[in-house]
Amino acid sequence: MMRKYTPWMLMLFFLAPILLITLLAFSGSWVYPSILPSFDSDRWMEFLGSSSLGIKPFLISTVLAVLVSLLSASIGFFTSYLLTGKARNWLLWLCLIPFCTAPVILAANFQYFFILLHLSASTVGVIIAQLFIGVPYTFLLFSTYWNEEQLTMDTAAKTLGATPFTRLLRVHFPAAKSLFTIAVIQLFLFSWFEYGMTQYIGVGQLKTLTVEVFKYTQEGNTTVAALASLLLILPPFIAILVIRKVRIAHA
Amino acid sequence: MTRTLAKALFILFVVIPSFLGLSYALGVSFGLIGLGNGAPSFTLSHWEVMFSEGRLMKSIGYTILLAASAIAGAALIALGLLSPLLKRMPGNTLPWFYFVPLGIPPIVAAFFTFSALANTGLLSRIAVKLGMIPDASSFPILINDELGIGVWLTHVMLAFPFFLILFLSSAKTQEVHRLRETASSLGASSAYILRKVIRPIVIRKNAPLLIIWFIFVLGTYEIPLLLGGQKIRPVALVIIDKMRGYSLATIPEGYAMSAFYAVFIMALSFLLVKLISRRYDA
Repeated sequence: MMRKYTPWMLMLFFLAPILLITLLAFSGSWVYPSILPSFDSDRWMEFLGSSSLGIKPFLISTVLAVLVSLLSASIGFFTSYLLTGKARNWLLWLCLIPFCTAPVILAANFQYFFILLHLSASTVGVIIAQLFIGVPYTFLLFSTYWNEEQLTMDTAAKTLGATPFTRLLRVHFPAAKSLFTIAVIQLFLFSWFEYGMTQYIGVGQLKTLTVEVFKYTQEGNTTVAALASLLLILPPFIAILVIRKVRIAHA
Repeated sequence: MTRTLAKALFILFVVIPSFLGLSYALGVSFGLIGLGNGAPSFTLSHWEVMFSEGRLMKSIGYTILLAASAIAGAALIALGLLSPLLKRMPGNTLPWFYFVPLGIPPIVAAFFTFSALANTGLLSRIAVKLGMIPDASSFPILINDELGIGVWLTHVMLAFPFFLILFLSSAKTQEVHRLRETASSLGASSAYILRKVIRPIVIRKNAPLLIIWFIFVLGTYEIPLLLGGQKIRPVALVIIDKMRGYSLATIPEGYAMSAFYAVFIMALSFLLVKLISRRYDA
């Protein structure tokens, strides 16, 4: 009996955060102990209209995520070409270190050099700092790409006289396109969701959506935090709705 | 030429940030880099303080316990749901709602936990409406509590949907239902099937990803910052607190701890590479 309802209960559980956050985002107040908050659409208009709230952090987060994802995917793909060499395991290890370290601690360790280079509290600084995780991540993702088949292809192109750069651009890039797209999407989400590093390197000057959500939640400003959260989860949610069904196994 | 450029970019974006950062942290922690007006002089005192001060060691122990228990909790829930879901899943596709939790960042998950489980949160309101508790103060403290229950729940909530998709995918790819049928017709009990058939396929095969998730939780920052208590805090928070402290004396302790953490992560990553490459070669 219970088993029959498992998928439905899961659906409710998985959608609960979005449902509660949407309810709170459109509410004026949520007085204890009423379960549902009172509806207030003015709050929403106020939020979107105001320049310091809403749309501005949304745009900052978008630009940051687009730049970081495209740059790290490109640099990561280009450098992963080194995996055709012998030092495979060492290179993978070197990439796992920044990928595994907590971003905020990574940022704290090299913050000194960022201050020296005047990169602290700047957008460029935050982009560079996020590249320090994005590039190794792409490198790791492409470690499965450089298999025997691709290496044979590389040798074939080499024998035909293609330079390394042509091989990368004309032989490998078209073959790796779908993996590249996955890298861009995941890195977009990484940058879009990142808080610790952005806050540390940006010193609170770069107000992304995550920084705003944190600020409002800590202030106890539930409805505004819910609005900012909704803006943060809406793009991935829409993407999931568009994709609808995902194949998870190859039988 | 291309290789040289690739090497240069690799060094610039991968090697320099972690090693320069680590060298600086080591330098400050051993007193070789002076802070403020202090002259550099070698000292072991900051490391001694780190190892002798109970708070820091407690924090390391707590973080490992938190990460391990969150991963174990999430994996157990996902494993428990595997059989009922596999029975109701004829094809190889998953409906969209399974992927919704993957689009929720830690900070929003923390905000959700806060709105749902705080004293004046949704669950407390429902409990009052149902007459289970008289008012908000009778609701158990789950947010900013000393044990970090809210932090743990948020991590389980974030990890379990991911594990579920991962396990379902492995089970489908390896056609677990057929193996199960064969094992059961040969007389294996369901506990035996779980131990000898399902566990090796879904858990051991996905071990590298489980370890990566464990490492992520070790570095947890924004979730305990919002939901954690004050007494025991995870490593990342303690390090940042020490580094940002106004006292110049505690800053090197923060760097000592961060260097310790970095070396620990390096060793763990090394283990991970070994594990992955063994799989890759196989």
